Amino acid sequence: MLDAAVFAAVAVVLGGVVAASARDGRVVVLGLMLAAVAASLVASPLPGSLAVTARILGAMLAAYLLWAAAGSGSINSAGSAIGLVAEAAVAVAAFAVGLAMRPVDPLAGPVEAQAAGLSLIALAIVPLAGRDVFRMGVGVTLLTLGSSLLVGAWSGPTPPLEQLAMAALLVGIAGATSLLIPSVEAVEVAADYVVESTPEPVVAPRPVAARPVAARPVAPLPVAVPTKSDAAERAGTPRVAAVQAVAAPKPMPAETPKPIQPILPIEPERRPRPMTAEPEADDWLAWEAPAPEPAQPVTTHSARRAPVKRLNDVEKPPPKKSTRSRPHLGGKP
Amino acid sequence: MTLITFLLICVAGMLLTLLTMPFARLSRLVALGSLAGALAAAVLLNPNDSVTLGEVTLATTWFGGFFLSALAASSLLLCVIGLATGWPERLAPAALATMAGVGVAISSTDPTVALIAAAAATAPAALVASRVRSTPLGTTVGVAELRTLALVVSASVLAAVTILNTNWNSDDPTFVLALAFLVVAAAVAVRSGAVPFHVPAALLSRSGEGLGLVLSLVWIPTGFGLIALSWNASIFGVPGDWLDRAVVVVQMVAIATLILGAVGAMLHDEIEEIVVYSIVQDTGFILLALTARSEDAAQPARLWLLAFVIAKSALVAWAATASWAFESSNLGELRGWLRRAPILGIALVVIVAATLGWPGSPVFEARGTLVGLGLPDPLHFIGTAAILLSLAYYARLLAVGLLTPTETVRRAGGDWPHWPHLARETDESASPDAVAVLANLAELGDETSASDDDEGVPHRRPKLYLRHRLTAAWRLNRPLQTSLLVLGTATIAAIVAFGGFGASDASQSGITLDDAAAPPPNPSGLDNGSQPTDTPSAEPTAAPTLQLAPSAPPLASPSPSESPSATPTATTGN
Repeated sequence: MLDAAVFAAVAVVLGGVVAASARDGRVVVLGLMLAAVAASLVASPLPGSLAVTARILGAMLAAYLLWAAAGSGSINSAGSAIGLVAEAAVAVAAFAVGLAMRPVDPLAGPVEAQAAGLSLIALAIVPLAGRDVFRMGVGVTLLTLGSSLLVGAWSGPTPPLEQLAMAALLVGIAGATSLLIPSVEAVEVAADYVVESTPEPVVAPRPVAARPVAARPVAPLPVAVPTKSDAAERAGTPRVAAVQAVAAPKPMPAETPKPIQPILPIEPERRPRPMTAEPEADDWLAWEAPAPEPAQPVTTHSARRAPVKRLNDVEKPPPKKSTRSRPHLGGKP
Repeated sequence: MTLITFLLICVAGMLLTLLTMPFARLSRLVALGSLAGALAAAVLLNPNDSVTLGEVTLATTWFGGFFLSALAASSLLLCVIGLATGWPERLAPAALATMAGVGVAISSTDPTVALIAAAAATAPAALVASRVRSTPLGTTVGVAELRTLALVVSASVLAAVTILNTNWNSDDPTFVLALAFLVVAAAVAVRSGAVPFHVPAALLSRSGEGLGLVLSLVWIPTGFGLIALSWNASIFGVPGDWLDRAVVVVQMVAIATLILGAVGAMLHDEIEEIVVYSIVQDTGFILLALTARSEDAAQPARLWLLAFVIAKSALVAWAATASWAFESSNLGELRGWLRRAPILGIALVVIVAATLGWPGSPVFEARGTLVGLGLPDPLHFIGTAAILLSLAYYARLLAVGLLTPTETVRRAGGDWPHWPHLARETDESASPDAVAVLANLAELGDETSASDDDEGVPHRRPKLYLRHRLTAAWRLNRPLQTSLLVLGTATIAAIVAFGGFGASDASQSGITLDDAAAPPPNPSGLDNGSQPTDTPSAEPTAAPTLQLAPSAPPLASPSPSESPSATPTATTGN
């Protein structure tokens, strides 16, 4: 007759394998929740209903926090670094070792708790060695669950307050993970930082006149021309200044376009200024004259590629649809 | 009941502060109210209060209440200072969560509950660290924070298992003790940013955290260190080769922290970095208290932790105020700061006195005792070297402040008292703040009087009422108010460091876990009868009884010369 602790231990390991190997963040969260809920049941005798309820509520709250972070779209986990089969093999091997080993003799708790705990700790090693914050949070959670199982196996039944403290710890870990996951903008900034640190060859665009003549209407093309100030900025900083322009929605003139001044050059990372008291909007006694807002450097792909309105831009009405074909770009047809 | 009240205030305040965060004013109000309530509840903690939840009893002690009061007072003062220098919006909920966890940890009689609660109390550091997640540093800081959390959890669980006196199936049970000691010391070292684990702390200092630094580097490490120290002597105070080797490793980390932390503070030019390395240096004394493994080190360690919490909080507040007042944190640009902000200068001197003390003062003696018990005799000069190095970087800060002021410093108002007076906006002698204030006053004045200037051009000057002037004076003198708050925090730190407010008496009472550290007799184990703390100062009830597996050979009772508490050199095998 199999004990309930055996089924719970198997569920713990299954949840751990899913959490450690899945790519989708929500599946990872589901695996973690399964492991956390089942971990509270790997005990003999079973803890009181109040303690189990506290652990289950804690597991659900922790899963919700991670689920919310996963739902924000900022998690792009690469999944397991060694693959599902390898993770499962590691878990099973650690489980078998846990069933066989006797570091504490006699065991004060069920041997299945020791096996499941060792299995979770083995599964946590690979995520903890990486640099993915979400997967690292999964690793910390697995490590905590495994450690709690080992305490139960080596020290005997856990009192209800310990279950409550463990639930609080799991919620704290999940909350910390969800808070520390870098936002999408931060990931792009980091990518920009890496890319822009490497010197890029300046490629001059082909002359407009040399472009092939299109027989059909040509969509407006963005034109980027390195300017004198741009080159000077390149010489001064490793970062490449962003030159961006969006062609006006009008037929492109035949002559060579004028050089476009850089709009918002990327500046090197600045040290953040010391925080100052922010003036309240409705504070009629705000004596300090508000300092002009410094121009924020554009640091993301999306912001850099978005059309930016310049001060000397004039609002132009949208071009009317014309049945005429666009004039040829390369002079006379 | 008073303990439950304190815990409820902390948890409810944390949740309400987080929920009201979109409403800035309401969130600040709730945060300050919660911190004030937590401080009142901590001050009113009954030293003999106890609550039994299941099989675990939460009991309070005098020192526990004192420590929680110190945490709450530091949090409240820093948040009030943050109203002027820049509101640390996540500091208050994180501090409340930390205080709740530490409150459970230091009042629990069950070691496992205490250690798990202590580990949970370290998680709120992510609330502060998450402010930088949108920067390129975000991933690095997040990874470091989670790895630290993993280490703290592992150390806590291993320590709990060790304390629970399990029957290790090992020929040499001191190996398990040594492993637990090493992991716990590593958790304390990593959490507090000791050398060579100081990189995350340095990254945090460069991220513009400001007042938030104090949570990650002072409050949380101190709480966890207090739990680690509470049963350190009774569990690890046994002789053994493995333990001696582990102690030597921790001693090396402590020495490196004491020396290199001060060197780092001297080499850096940003005052946040100087403050961070100063904190890092002083965490070396927590590690020394761990390596002492003696009951004699308990009282000075507790007094040092109290002084450390408040003095370093005051130092972080000083740095944030100086950065805000002069709009720069670079020491090169802050030349002459002391001339413009003498009250900040006095506050820094008081902080130095609270941190270092002088011969004969309680904090000085506490540091000396920790060095004497934690290091072997030939290395006792490290304590003097640490003091001299500390004095060097503090003197550097003060000396830079006495130089000729830079344009940045001259432009700032400083913390001299100001009184609004009428002047033209074109008056070059008026500071920018005064010009801004008077420009607003001109808008406020409902009656104006015409006058001619030197060139005969009619000029309308506002006629001001006293209430306008008082309001303007209140606004103009914000740096003065903030500096006075910093000075007040530093003064409290100095009073506590010199044993005032009953700190000396409270530090002798310990926390609940001290009394519960002695494990219950294990019927299946074999009592080896070793009594390592055979010094006269050791309490008989706190003497550990190492339970071994039946197959394990009993440890020989150490002679008095081998006792770690009798001679510190014996702990290192020297």
